[in-house]
Amino acid sequence: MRQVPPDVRRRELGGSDPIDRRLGVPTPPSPLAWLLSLLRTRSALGLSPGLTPAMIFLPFGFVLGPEVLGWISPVLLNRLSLVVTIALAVLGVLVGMALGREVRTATRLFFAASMESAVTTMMVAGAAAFFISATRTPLDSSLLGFVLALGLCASSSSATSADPDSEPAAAVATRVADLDDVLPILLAVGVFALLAAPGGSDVLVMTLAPPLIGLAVGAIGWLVFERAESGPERVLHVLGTLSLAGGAAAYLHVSPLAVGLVAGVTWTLVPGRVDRVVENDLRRVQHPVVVLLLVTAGASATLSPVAIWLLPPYLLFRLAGKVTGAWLSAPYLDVRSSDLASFLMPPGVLAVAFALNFSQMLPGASGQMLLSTVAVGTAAFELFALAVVPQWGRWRRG
Amino acid sequence: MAPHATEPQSGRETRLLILVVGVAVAVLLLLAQWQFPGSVMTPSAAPLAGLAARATFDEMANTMADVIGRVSPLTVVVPLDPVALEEEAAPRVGVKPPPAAAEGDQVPETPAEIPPAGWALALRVRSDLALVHVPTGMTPRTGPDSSIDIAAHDPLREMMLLRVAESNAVPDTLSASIRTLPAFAYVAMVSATPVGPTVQPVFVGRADSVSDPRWSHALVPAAVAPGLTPGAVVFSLNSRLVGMVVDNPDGPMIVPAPALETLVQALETPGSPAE
Repeated sequence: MRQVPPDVRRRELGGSDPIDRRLGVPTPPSPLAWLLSLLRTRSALGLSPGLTPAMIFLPFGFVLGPEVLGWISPVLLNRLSLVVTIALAVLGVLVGMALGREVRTATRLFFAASMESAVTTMMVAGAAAFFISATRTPLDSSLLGFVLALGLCASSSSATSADPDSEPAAAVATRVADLDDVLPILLAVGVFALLAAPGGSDVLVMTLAPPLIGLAVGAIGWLVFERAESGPERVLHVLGTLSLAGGAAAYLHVSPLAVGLVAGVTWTLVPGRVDRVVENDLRRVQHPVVVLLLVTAGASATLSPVAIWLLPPYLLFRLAGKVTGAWLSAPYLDVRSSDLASFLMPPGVLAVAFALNFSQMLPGASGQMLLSTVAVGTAAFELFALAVVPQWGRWRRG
Repeated sequence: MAPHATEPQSGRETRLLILVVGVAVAVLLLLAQWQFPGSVMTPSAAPLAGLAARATFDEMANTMADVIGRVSPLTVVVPLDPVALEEEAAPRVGVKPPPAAAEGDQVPETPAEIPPAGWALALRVRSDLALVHVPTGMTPRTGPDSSIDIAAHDPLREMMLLRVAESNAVPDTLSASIRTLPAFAYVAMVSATPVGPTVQPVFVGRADSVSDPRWSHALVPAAVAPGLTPGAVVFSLNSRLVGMVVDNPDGPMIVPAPALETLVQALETPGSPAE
């Protein structure tokens, strides 16, 4: 097996965190202490290995939401819509910066990751289309748009169930997980245009707007970030620019993830150290953004019969899609396909981000169904990965 | 192994793939034998059916149908009677009731059988309270058979707070409202009919407001949107409350939702001047 250079073990999404260094990761003496330690460390908040934030904050949001306690009311959720859009743009920037750094040196990896996500998308979309048609599941949107949206949500992976430093296969899976979100984000632009077409929106405008806005935001950031005279001024510029990205996407009803992706790639490719500036400043908002997205998704989820009805095909075919995608792409990565598939099982925050993104665009009932199915499915896969991946590794080694 | 060389898949990996995909397909085929319970909507016959462009009027018709479906639970249609008739119908203290009619005599018509003089649309603002505009000289038909009772009356503004049958479908009518009337946009005018609430699309042109000392917030003349009649409730196209049309000495006015909210709070307060 090919040795992985040390520098690839560090994830671009996340990175080193002062909280980790300060608090450390204590050996869990009891389940309660184990949970508390996870809540204290960035494992519970960020995108790093460990008990993933989705398993904590999705149920937490659900309990706070209208379905249980009602502390997060529908009105509040409605008002959070713009904030969620800006948060999605921030996630897009993080993915874009990861892509910008990898694309020059890891074309093969990018190809393999895109193939894996495309296969998962197609399998989940195909199975969902068949299932919805065969069972006459109520749907108030375009079948094609809905199943593609569901497939794109399923394609996301986070590889957070194992430490990237633990073994070469985990390191490769981590890089694949970072890059397999790029194709779905780009395809989501087309799905947004498809979903908006019946409303009379111009498909060409919907398709071209995200890259154009992203380039404009990237250019603005390039011009102003490094000229800030103080740290707070620079942070203000960064947050203002990201708000512009999210706000413009919300105004034009286009994908904020795609806008952020293009801006992130731009900042990485242009001369200077704009990407480092953005990375440093985003580190301050990254954890709140993740928590906000997960809590909002949890609160927005309703355990409706139709969402539960759609859950079995989603779970089954995401599993099958990941296994098939890993089988097809593993030869290009010099890892065993079963190892790659097992590390790619956790969907991570981006699956929820995709679902929130599409639920803003789909008609009410369909959007609710998609978000609920993906939120429950994400929690289920995170739990599955937490239980299965360590056992799988132990079984394989011994 | 040379870098970037492809590694052939082992038989074990392929067997795992076939097993997982086979199980997934088998379970999918099994689950597809059942139909979604209580399905009333059918998916589009063609996958691309929802993507075809539709005429603008069809879109507007669908939007109006959507609005009326969403806001109907938030409204109550109230029959109105002239005040004098209502007073006659009310039992008077100390007045002996007329003797019972003998068999075969013609039974006089009771007020309850008289058709209402008009209909008003009350907007649910709490689970058991609804706000309605009642023109001077009219009053809601109440009585032992009716589930409507007057909780508070504000004759100055011609508004009443009615106690109605409790409903869970109210929640955030006022708090989730639109704070200002949108200009140069379509809104939905919901009004009362004998068979229930109905809806019409109305185009709002200018939405300049005028102040009125009787209301806490500035009002918008109803003339900005031809067709708005007093008593109608105005919603946005995404079913959020915009306001209510009321009579005014200067002509019908649209009272924005925040002013309605303030009025409801005043009417709910015991001993308030409005009561």
